[in-house]
Amino acid sequence: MRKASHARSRPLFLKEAQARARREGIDVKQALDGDRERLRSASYPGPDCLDPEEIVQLLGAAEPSATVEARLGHVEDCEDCATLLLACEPGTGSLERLIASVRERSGLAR
Amino acid sequence: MSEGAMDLEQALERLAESPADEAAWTVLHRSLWPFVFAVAYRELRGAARAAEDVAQETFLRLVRSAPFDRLEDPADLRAYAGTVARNLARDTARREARQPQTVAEPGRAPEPLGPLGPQLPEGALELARKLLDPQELALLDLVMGGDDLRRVAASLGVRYGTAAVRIHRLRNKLRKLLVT
Repeated sequence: MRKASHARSRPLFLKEAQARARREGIDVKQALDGDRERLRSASYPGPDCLDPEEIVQLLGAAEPSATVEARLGHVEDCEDCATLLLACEPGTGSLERLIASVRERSGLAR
Repeated sequence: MSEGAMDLEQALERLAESPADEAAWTVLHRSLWPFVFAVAYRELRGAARAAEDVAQETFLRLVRSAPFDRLEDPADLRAYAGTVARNLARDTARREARQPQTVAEPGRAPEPLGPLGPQLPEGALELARKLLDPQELALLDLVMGGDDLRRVAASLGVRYGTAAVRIHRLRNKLRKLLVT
């Protein structure tokens, strides 16, 4: 009786972690650690994070504007957006792979 | 027409005529990559390397499908490419959920980036050096030295995001200076 009452009182996240630990052959602490990490990483994207349209605007902005500056202000505070801003520029490697694929498709592969 | 003078609309016209037009593909890549990458990055919650793979695959699918006879408007093409990228990213995320470690860095710090320096045509670096002020020049030397963003930030004594914004401004300035 006491055992059943205890089982009912366990929080859902703990029940889920215990079930997953059994399924995956890990201990409950490892399952809970995994959950905690997933929750932390779920903070991106947040409501203020740059969306794809804004990225295009920021890269194409010829002159600083109040809007651009405000968005860059967010980038200073957000490491994920900072990474995005620098990582999204097209590189030569991806262009080379694209052109190789175009040549292959058109039978011009060298 | 050179790649530099061609805009995305003209590139699409040329690809509708000739899907093997490499100059037009180069313009399309330059114009569309940031958007496609950003869609994938957002969908994959900041996994930059996986987002790059998704962006690359999106372009390869564009090569295979060559939808340029029915997507003449750049906005339509962008929407199409965004949908392809989103679907591919969701597939990647689902695969990752089934078989972790291929993509995820849960709770991770942002991944180290590839080269931070601006990608300049040959000879342009020397020209760029003459056009920058001393602070910008110091930053250029730092990013061309191959350090990752965290180390650049540490060298400058600023936060990660602040270093990223400074590099972004430098890249934009160089693009503008070297085009005009």
